[in-house]
Parts: sequence; structure tokens; C-alpha cells
Amino acid sequence: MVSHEQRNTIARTLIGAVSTLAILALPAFGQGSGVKGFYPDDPLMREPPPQPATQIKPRDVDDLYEFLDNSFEVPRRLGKIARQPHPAKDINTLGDVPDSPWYTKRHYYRQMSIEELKRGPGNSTPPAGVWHVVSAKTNGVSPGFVIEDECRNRYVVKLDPPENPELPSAADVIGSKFFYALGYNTPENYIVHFQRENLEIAKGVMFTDATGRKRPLTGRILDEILRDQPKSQDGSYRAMASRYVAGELVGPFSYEGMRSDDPNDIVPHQDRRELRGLGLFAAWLDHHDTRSINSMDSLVKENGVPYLKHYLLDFGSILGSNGTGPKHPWSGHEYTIDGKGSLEQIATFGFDVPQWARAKYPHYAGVGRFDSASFDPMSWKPNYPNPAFLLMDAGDAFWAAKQVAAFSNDEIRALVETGEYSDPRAAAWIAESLIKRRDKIAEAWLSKVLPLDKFNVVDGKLAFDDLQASRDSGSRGEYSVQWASWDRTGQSTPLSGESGMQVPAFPSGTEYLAGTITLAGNDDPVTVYVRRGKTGPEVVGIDRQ
Amino acid sequence: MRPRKKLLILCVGACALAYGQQQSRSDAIESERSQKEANLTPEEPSKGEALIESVEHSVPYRLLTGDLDGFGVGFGTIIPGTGFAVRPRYTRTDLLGGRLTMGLEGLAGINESYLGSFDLGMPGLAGGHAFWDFNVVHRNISEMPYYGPGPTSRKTGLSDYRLEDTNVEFRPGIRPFKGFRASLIGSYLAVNVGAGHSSQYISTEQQFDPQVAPGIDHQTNFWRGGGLLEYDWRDKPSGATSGGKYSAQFVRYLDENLGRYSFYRLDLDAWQYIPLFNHTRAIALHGASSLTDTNRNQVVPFYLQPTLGGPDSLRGYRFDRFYGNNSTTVTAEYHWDASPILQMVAFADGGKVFNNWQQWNFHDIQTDVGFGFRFRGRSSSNIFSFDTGFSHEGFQIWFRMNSAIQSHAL
Repeated sequence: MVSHEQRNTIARTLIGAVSTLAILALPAFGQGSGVKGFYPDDPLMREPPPQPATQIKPRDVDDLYEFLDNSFEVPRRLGKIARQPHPAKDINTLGDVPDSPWYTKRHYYRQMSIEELKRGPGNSTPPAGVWHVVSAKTNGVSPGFVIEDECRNRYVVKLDPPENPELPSAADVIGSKFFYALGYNTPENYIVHFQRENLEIAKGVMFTDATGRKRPLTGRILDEILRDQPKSQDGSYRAMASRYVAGELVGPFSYEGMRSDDPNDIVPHQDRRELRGLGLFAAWLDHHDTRSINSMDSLVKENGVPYLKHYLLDFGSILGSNGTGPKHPWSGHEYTIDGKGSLEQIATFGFDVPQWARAKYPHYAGVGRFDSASFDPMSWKPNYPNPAFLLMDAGDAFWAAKQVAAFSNDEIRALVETGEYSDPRAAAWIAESLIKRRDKIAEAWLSKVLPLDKFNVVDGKLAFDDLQASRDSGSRGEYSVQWASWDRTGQSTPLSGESGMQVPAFPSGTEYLAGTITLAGNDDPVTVYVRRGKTGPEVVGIDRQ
Repeated sequence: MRPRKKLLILCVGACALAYGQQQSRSDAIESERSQKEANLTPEEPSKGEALIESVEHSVPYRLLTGDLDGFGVGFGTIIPGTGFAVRPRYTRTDLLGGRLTMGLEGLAGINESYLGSFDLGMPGLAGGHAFWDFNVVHRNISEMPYYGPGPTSRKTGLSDYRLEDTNVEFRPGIRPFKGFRASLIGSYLAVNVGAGHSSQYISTEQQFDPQVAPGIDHQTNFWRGGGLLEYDWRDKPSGATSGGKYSAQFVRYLDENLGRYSFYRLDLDAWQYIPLFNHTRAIALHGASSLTDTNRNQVVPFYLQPTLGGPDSLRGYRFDRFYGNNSTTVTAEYHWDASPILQMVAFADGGKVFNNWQQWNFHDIQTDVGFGFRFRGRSSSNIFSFDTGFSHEGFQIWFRMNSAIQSHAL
């Protein structure tokens, strides 16, 4: 996820490397007005409505090409960039990501109830009635079929590997809920139980067999697909049904570059904070398979305006699953191609056993290889380098870490419940591992800075949350604030005697105040910019040192 | 204010002046969108991506991956250590509504060797608990090595002979539970042995007489009957790190024409894998023995004797280096993952051939040691592998490409 070089850079300068992050956001979506340092609509909470995307054509991202390019070329190409401060370009002046077709501020910004978390992108339209099979695959990563239910809703139905019941299906459902709560667009995923009699083959359905030949889909082939599947006592099969996302599917998005046919795609994807920060979410949930093909762009219409909505799909390879069985032991720890590490292993005859290879996993159904002891949030890796993850800087990581840390133990347990593990020990292990991994992420990224956030002015006083204090269940000492006036040229003039939480009166002709907050024992101040608003002072930007 | 911060804010201010038209950030975003709207172009893959896509959709690639309406092409050798061979194949899995499978395969080597096979089978009878398989294989191998009988044959005694045989076989069987297979074997085997093709080595019939190499002068045809028991609980068929595979096959060879070469053959084979450190390392132990016996006045023809040497037994020796009425071999391997796609192997092999099955022991065995590489795909199955074995007779390098090389041993 983070290269050695990048880690070193981060370690050296950490938040300092992205200082004035919020201010740098100014040119992100356009340029300033020339009248003042901030726009009147800062901080932007929602992108303006999209322009009509009328020239979109479906396209694919070649999986093999992406693997080769990302393994060999991307690290070289982006390595130099990653060594320099290169803040995300789609953030607002608070360092947050405005709502957009990519991302929606959810759980961290407005705590979702347990019910909302479990509902995720939706839980009210599981496949109903007789399922009409409209396509099938008998080989590949996981066998399954596409169905249309009596409401004419389409679903991809994926079966668990017979040797590892519940493993990918639970992961897929849990993943859709977590990533939804984290702000992404995800499909409605359901654990379903069905009888063979529930399946009917639609007329004229063909499928491609393992030899590449198209042939009619028959009941016998469905029987073969189901032959090795475990049955419950009532004769039903368990599977995961993922409802087709709305709109016209036009192919996956790439983690680098922009679509040339989408007028709304104006920020290189590798510079999107929600894609960079996704690397930390992926680390938390061990989503090692964050390939482009596990995403989808859908052309949707809102108020008659067509635009692209961007989805994450296919979470069957998160937690302890790799989609077809337990995760490989190296997943999350090593890239598929790692020349230096390979040479070390060859030279030491494998006697230099990595810590992750010594991890202990329980043998509960549905768990696979998932733990917290071997997890290092600073060195977690997907299967192969991801351009956006490579560029994740401390600002991106802070943005992601604060969202991870926002999940309470009970909320995590509730989300894990949606995987419907038959063995409560499996659910407990997954939840406890996620809780400990969350704590490791918070420790790694929140403890190294002054993690103040959610700034506001209440009754004339500056208010904020100390994310670390709330984790430590208590106050961490006295904050001090030094106030200064600030103008559009970047000049700040200290206001003598103004050092409390009370926002001082704006000097004549001053539009902005800058309050620099420090905490005893912490060298990383946070500067808050307060604007003279119509109804009183309002926080307009922050600057993390 | 720190100089860097000043610089950044001044920069922002300068940029802002340059874009003085927008009155809000939303305006700025809209402006950028409008600029892009005016310059939209269709999405096109990069040159590199287009190249890889075209390769993936090309007929040769689809042939190599067996994804062209059942047609495929592989590469390998007909027998290890000999010339390069091309292996076209055609597979059908859709006959009788998917109940019947059919496969046609050819293998042609540059040393005028070839192999053809035809398979017909119903693998999923009785809900997958029963099967039958009908198979015809014809081989014409121009340079089969022969060094003479027994463990004392000399490496310098290499001769070669042409082995031409056709086997028609029927195997019905059952799979009462997962991993276990029991089948009956009935077949007819026609054999012809001739002069070797190599110009480098003497032809076998010129070097060895029928007393030393029984059957070198006259060949016969055989009726074969027997059975196979097999239990396989490896974690995966290729690149296994846990579980095991054990098999026992007993076959009676009945000489149809000459009445001199009837015999019994028992092949025992066992692999056991012991995983270490979450399957990133493993110990693999292998033992195999092929035992033959005859009634009075019968002998085992040399071309059907058990052999040792090659990628599946003694890897530090040439292919089929040792011939004998019986053989036994043991192997210990240490596997370790160098990366997700590369597994390393260190191994030691030991084995010997011997004349009488009552002499089964491990005295005076031939030994070798070596190392190997296994390159794996995303499914963690081996795509191809290199093994290098060292023995007192030198070293051998063995290359194996997935299932492209199959022994087709009878």
C-alpha cells in the first residue's frame, strides 16, 4: 500500500509533508476568485450537480495489462511523485471529500444507527419468488449464475466453495456494508438460501463452458453446479446474491488517470482522496483484491441528467477469503511480484520466516485466514501496487483513519452479523480481529498528529473533537489557541491577548481569523480558519501541520 | 508564518487571480467541467493495453489457453529429455447434454516421435459417484533410451530403440466419497519395438541380446486386466502443500501371441505433504514402488519393465536410466515460498531397480540431490517448473510445463 520510500518520507515529515492541505485544496477543482483566499461556498460539502455525460461508451480495463503495468511500470512512474508532497486534489478546505458520484459522507460525519449500518445500500429487495437463471458460469473464480426474480430484478448469485462454506459469501455481504458506511457506492448484497426447485432456466439461455464453447444451459448443468454444495437440513443451499446496480453498466473505473469521455471526471483518479484512502480501508478489511475489475461505472440519470456513478464491487476477497477459499498467507503482506523479497527468501532457503507466516488462524467455518496479530497498517499491501494507494499521503491516511476509528465495537459486531455465520465463534473472531485492526490503524495514524477534527463555532467558542482523546476515554490536557487575523495575501497578524477558545472579535477590515491550536507535549499544531459569516463566525478551513 | 506556507498561499493567490471569473468553488468546478466537455474524446486503451488485449483475443493465445471452442495447443516433450513437441488437442464436454466428454490429442516431436490419443468418458454417472473412461493411445517414440538391465548398468552403455505401441483401455469405476476412486482396468496392448532413430547411439538390438533385454527380438500383444484404488486429499492437485495422495494399481499382463511374456505388475505410490508456517513451507515425502512377478518360464519384457531416472523419480539421472523387474524410490522435498508466484524446492531422491520383488529393501540405492523452481499462477497451481538434480553421474535439468507433459505410461 505504501512504498518504503513513501513510508520513510511520511515518517520524516508526516503531517508536515502535507501542510496547508486545506489551502492547497483551493486550486483542486478550479481556482480562486482573486478577491479572497476562500470561496464563499467553502468548505464545499457537495460537488455541484453533474453535467450531462452524453458521450460515454462502455469500456473494459484489461486485467492482465493492469497487473503488469501496476507491478512494473506504475511504481517507477509514481515513485518519484510519491516522494514529494502531492496532496489529493478533490478535497475541500477542511480536508474532506465533498459528496459526489464517487463518495458520500456517511458514518463518520453523521453517525449511522446500527439499523442503518446493517441496511447498508439496501436490504429490502432480496431475490423473490422463482428465480429465472439467465446466465451461468461453471468454472472461474467462483461458480454461480445470474438470475432474474419475479420482480424482474437481476442478481449475480455466487456459491461458496464446497470446502469453505460461508467464507466468500459472508465476506461479500459484510464488505458491501462496511464500504457503504465508509462512503462508497456498493451493491445490495444478500445472504440467500434457496431450493433447487426455486431455479428455472429462462428460455434460450446459453453459457460458455470451460473449453470456451457456448452451449445451452440445462437443468443438468445447474445440478452439476450445485452437486458439491452443502445443503442445510431443509435441503436449501446458501449463496450470496448481489443485486445489479442501477443504470447502464459501462465497465470498471481505473485507479489512475481520468475518463476522456466523461465531462465530470476532472481529477486524476490517483489524486482522489477517496481512492487513496481506500487503501487504508482495504487494509482494515484485508481487501487485497482491489483491482479495477472489482469496480464498476454505471450511467445513471438524475433529474434527466445522465452521469456516471462509481461503484465498488465484489468483496468476496476481503477478510479471510480469497474468493475461492482461504486467503493465501501472503495476502496483504506481499505483492505478487516482489523481486527483493524473493531474492531474500531464495538466499535464506526460506529459513527467514516472516512474522505473517507464523500467524495463528482458528479453524472456524467461514473465517479463513484473517487475524489482527500479523496486521501492520503501515506495510499492508494489495495483490499488486495500486496507483492511488501508492500516492496515499499522511493527509489521506488521516482522513481514512478517522473514519475507521469511528466504528464502535458494537457497530463492528453488528456489521459482522450480516455475514450470517453459522458458528458464533467465527463471527466473534472476525469482529475481534476487526476491532484490533481498527485500533492498530488509529494508533498508527491518529497518535502521530494532533487529531483534532469536526471544528465548529458554538456560542462564539471554537469547538472540536479530539479523536485520540475520545479513544483514550478522557481529556489529554490543555489546548491553547493563538489567534491571528489573516488576509488574502497570506499575511497573518497575531492578535495580542487572544488565546482562548473564544473566537475574538474580527478587527476592522478583516474577513478571516486563524486560530492555531496546540497541545502540551504535541509538536503538531492545527490552524483553523474562521470566516466572518453572516450569522456569526464560521469555520472555513483547517491547516494540519 | 513559515516561508513554505507563505509561498503556497501566494501561489494560490496567483492562481486565483488568473481565474478571476469564478465567484464560487462550484463555479470553478463547473468551469473545469465545461472545459473538459469541449474536449471530450472516446475512451481508448493505451498502446500497451491494446497490444495485450489483441494478444489475448488472438487465435494463438486462445489455443494456448484452450479457450477456442475446445481447440487448444500445448508444448512439451513426448518423453522427458528428448526433443520439443507440439501438442494440439480438441475437447468436447457438451455431448449428450454434457454427460459425455470427448478428447482428441496429438503430440509430434522433432525427432520423429508422435503420440495420438482419443478419450471418451462419462465422468458424472450416479450423481458423480460413478464413471467410465474409454481411452485409445498410440505412441511411436523413436529414441527410447536403454542402458542395459539392473542397477549396475553403465551410463556409457546408452542405446536407443523405437517403441511403437497402441493401447485400447476401458476403465469403469466408482467414487463412493470425495477423494476416493476405485476402478477396474481392461485393455488390449499391441507393442512393436524397432531400431532406434538416434545417430549418436547404437541401436538397442545391436548392443543387447534377448537374454539381457527380453523381448528385443520378438514383441507380442497383451490383454491387460486389473484394478486401481486411489485416495487423494491434497489441498490442490498441483503445488500441494498439505494432504496426501495414495494409489495402488494391480494389472495382469497376458501375452496373447508368444506365451512367454505374461506377468503381474503392482504399482504403489504415496505422496504426503506436511505444511509448515501457514503452508508457506512444506515437507513433501514420496515413496513409490513397482513390483512385477511372473509364472514359471515367463519373463517381463524389457520395454514394460519398471524404470528409474527422470523428473518423476531420480532427478539426478537421465530419463529411464535404470531398467529392472522391480523398482523402488523415495523422495524428500522441502518447499518454501520465495514469493506468491515462486516456490523453491530442495530435494533428495533415492531409489533402485532390482531383479526379484523379494529383494525389496533400501540397500545400495542410487541417490541424488537438487533444487527446483515452481512458477505459479493466480490459482496457485504450477504453470511451469525447473528441477536440477545432481548425482555421481552428473546433473540433469528438467523443465515441466503444467500438464503439457504427461507420461502416458501404460
